[in-house]
Amino acid sequence: MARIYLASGILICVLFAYASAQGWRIIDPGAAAPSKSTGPCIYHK
Amino acid sequence: MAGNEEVPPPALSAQQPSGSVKTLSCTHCGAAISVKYPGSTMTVVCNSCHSVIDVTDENYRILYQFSKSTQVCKPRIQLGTRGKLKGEQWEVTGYIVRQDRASCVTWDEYLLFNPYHGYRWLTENNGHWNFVKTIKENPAIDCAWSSRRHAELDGKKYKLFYDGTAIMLFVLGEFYWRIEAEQKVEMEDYICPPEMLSSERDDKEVVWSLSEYIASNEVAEAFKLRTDELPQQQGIAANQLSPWSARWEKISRLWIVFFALLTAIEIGFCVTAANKSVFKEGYPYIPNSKSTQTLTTSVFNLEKSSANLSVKFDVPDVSNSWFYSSGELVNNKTGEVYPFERTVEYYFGVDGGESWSEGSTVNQILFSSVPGGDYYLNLDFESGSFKDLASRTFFVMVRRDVPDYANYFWCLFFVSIIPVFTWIRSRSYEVQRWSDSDYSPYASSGD
Repeated sequence: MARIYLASGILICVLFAYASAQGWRIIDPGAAAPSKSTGPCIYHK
Repeated sequence: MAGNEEVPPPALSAQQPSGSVKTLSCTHCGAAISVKYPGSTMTVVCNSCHSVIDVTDENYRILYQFSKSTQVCKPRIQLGTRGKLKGEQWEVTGYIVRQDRASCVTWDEYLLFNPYHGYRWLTENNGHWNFVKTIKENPAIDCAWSSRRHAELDGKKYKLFYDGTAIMLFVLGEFYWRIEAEQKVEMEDYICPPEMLSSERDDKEVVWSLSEYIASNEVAEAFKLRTDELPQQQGIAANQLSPWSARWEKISRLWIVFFALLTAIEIGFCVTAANKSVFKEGYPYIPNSKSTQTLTTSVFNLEKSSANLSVKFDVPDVSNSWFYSSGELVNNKTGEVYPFERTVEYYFGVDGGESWSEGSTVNQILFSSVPGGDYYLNLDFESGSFKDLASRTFFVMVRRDVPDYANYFWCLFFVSIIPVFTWIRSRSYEVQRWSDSDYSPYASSGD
């Protein structure tokens, strides 16, 4: 298990370094998501 | 491991028991009893009537008769069986069944003998086996916290797991001490898996022993037994080595390395990020307009073949209202489009005497991995109700190669999944182990 973790950890570190160098977000669920106004009443009804 | 007087070094001749076996008749029933190691045996139990006989007494005095008060127990490893354990040859010479007086839990103890190495014990409790050696040193006991007592031996800390009174239920074979009727001892077990330190205290002495957990198949192999002849394992033994704790130890060390590596990489990228402002412009807008207003910005250049891009909207006049913009980032050469929507909203007030606020007058969007080139923005925008309808200004700011922490936290999350899983398994193993103890460090105060 420690070996699997070592391998996957190295892979994640390499991926992180590559993605950061490219300005690329590995997971980006909300970057271009619509954000239409909901108005105040939703929050303070 | 009762009756642990200093064992006299056995005579070399005892290695060939066939030549030195002493035969006597049971004082009680007359059955023939053979003493294999007369040089070191003080007590022998008659196989027929279970009378405990003192062989050092010239009249073979009966010390006690076990069968009168107890049921007959059958050892799993027959007396006289020889087997190789821990690299040495041992012969099973005695068998004892003991019981904890409070819980009535019983366990078996087999006395092993080797003429060169003396006596050892093999204990079995719930199918778990221990190879036990009495020790001469007295471990240091730390009673700083009465509920977290521990013993120290050779720099190792052993946590208190059990204390109680043990009684002897049944006995068979020959022993190097005088077995007394209804012998009971105060016992304490301290654990540091796979080892366990045990103390046995009676009126005369305190004897310490060191146990090492051994797998049942090792016992079966040593004494040429089938594994189904041995009792099935139940639960987790006090000093059974957790397969998860070793993994957790390795994996936690690796996690520290990965954490340091990811943090160093992140700091490196944050420090070297250009974070360059490539466009900044203010545009007028008319609040409460029913129709959508549109504009196209001037062209700006993005350096670097690939980097992220931040578009920030600053609408300082938004107050208990909103400003909404949908737009697109357009590559002037290729026509490639990055659509987006953003709302700036800021609300505040006083509710029940307490002031509150929500939102902000700025909002931004981050595009990841935008290729270099010339770009412009197409923007559609509208706004909510404002108190007066005078023209306002909003600002659009574009920055190239900005520090971003999302990847760092995601990678930290991924790299932590296995350690968290291992820690949970390791902890639940320990919780299960300590569930049999009155001294569990995992027990809540209500337990």
